[in-house]
Amino acid sequence: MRHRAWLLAAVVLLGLAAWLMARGDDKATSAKKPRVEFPRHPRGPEVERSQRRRTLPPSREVDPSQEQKPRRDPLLTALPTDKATSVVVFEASAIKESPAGKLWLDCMLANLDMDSFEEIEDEFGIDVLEDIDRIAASSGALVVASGEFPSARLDSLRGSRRAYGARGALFEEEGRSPVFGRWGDGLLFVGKDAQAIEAAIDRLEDKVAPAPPVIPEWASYGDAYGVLSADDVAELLEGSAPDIAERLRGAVSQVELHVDASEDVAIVAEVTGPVAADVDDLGKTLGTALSLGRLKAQADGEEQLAELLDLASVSPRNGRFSLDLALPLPMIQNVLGRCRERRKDGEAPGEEAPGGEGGAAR
Amino acid sequence: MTTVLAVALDLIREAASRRWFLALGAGITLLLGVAGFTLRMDVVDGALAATRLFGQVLPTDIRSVDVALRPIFRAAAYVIFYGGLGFGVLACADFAPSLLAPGRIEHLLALPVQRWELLAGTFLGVLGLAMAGALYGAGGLTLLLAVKTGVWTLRPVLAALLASVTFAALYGGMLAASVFARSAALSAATGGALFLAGIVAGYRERLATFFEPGAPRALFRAVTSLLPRVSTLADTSADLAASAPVEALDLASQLAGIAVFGLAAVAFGIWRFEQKDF
Repeated sequence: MRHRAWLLAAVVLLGLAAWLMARGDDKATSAKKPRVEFPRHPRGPEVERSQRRRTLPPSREVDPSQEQKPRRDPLLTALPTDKATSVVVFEASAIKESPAGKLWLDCMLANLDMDSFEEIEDEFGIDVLEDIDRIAASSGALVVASGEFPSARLDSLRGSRRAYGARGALFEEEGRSPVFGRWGDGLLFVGKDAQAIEAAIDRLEDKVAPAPPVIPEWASYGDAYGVLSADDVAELLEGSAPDIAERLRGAVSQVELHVDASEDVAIVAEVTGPVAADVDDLGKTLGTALSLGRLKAQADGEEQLAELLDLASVSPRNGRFSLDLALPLPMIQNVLGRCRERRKDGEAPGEEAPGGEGGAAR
Repeated sequence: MTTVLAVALDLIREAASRRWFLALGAGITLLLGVAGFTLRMDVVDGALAATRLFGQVLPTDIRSVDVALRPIFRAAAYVIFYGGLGFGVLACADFAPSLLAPGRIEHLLALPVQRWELLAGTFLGVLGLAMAGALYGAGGLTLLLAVKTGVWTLRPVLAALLASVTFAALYGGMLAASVFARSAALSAATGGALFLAGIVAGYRERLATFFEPGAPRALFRAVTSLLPRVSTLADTSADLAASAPVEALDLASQLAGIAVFGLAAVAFGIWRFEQKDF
């Protein structure tokens, strides 16, 4: 009898062991989530997308010795060409499908105190989620949206319509800013003044000497991309890291930016400058600052910040360096998810919950 | 329970008298020495990590040393886990067969000790020895990496502790096998088979897709559901060593399951031991 008790105990314990081990099976043995993928080069679909968008005929003043004149992307052509300008393009159609993009759209609606974008469609004839393909914002006080806008009614924003160029129109009112504009059915403009929009239409219609676009067509990959001038980046850092901001102004000529938001938000910033040694030094300073920041966050028990800096790295090469940053999706959910809660709690838009975004924004 | 502990301590005393400790220590020290002399690893430039491994400079991303060295700690955890288990299976295969050797077992059974206490004490004693060896080996490797890189972390030691719990499951099977047939070779073979089958069981969900749906897949799932998930714990120990996030509840569940598997195997051995005539 006692012998059988041991056998019974063995069988029961084996069953218990199998149950306990099976509990962790699914998560433990499922395929591991890949590390964050940083957008370092255009992928196949992005190359196709870029080719498809080159609908603007080649510039008339292109070098005649060049046999095959390249067609151009109207949105990139419309943007200011001054190298000191910062320009960022958002792929609206890709971002709206991404988890982070959906949260951001929720936040946008919450801040506008709207339930959906239908109100905008009713008033201006633009379906924000379907009609807009890309939005480009430049520090030259010009925003360009590309997409399909056959039924856009900009005259409801500004009373006076003025035709400009072969296909352009401006919507303005004396003394009111911003000014709105359109070019054909595919481009909409919002400019600080009429000159900014006129200059964009001139570039599209070859009325000015052609200059290379500030974002080359081969660099239009990622869910958001662009170039930032040294002054604009330095201005961003002025408050939190004045020493780095000062060094950045002297060493950097341009920062090329690519963002992938398909799951976690991965950001790659390629930093270039006129003097390789200065750029190398700046890369080392930034890398060390990130490392020290991470150690401090760990020591202070700021887990979220430590996790963020954990995925940050600086890779120097040949007089330039690449800065990788990643925002894990749970962190974004944690920050942007508050918009939904705020709406549920009936808080006024823009009003901050106690202990709210300040910490997260950091 | 006191008797079980007394038997365990007796086994450890015997191991000491047989210079088993010396051999175990020498073996681990030799491995650590080889690692220490062959691993060319220097971290230079303070917070800026430039790592050399076997004389080659690793990618020179500027990041903290502990982040840059995570792949090294991950690899160390795998070496400690799998190496420790393999070493433990071979080194401890002879304990149970020697306990059951003719002459000795009769003497032990003549003492006021119950049969189950004898087997449970042997199990505990061997686990104690294995844990001491694992901690010595992992501690030594951690110290070696810390001296060479300047990064002090006890995470590889955690890998050794997980390996020790996993070894409990393997040794339970080895002990039970020794009761059925007194052979060090069979004991080692059982440990080795459980070790390999446990690696397969750890990836059972992914491997199940290679089997035809229906009876073959269900059979594979049923068999592997009973086996200790060796590779799952190895991966978890590597994640822990590399500071990757680990689900605490899943880990606790796996550890408890593996420990209970060891107890089940010992209970099975005791059942057979109680029936035997010596």
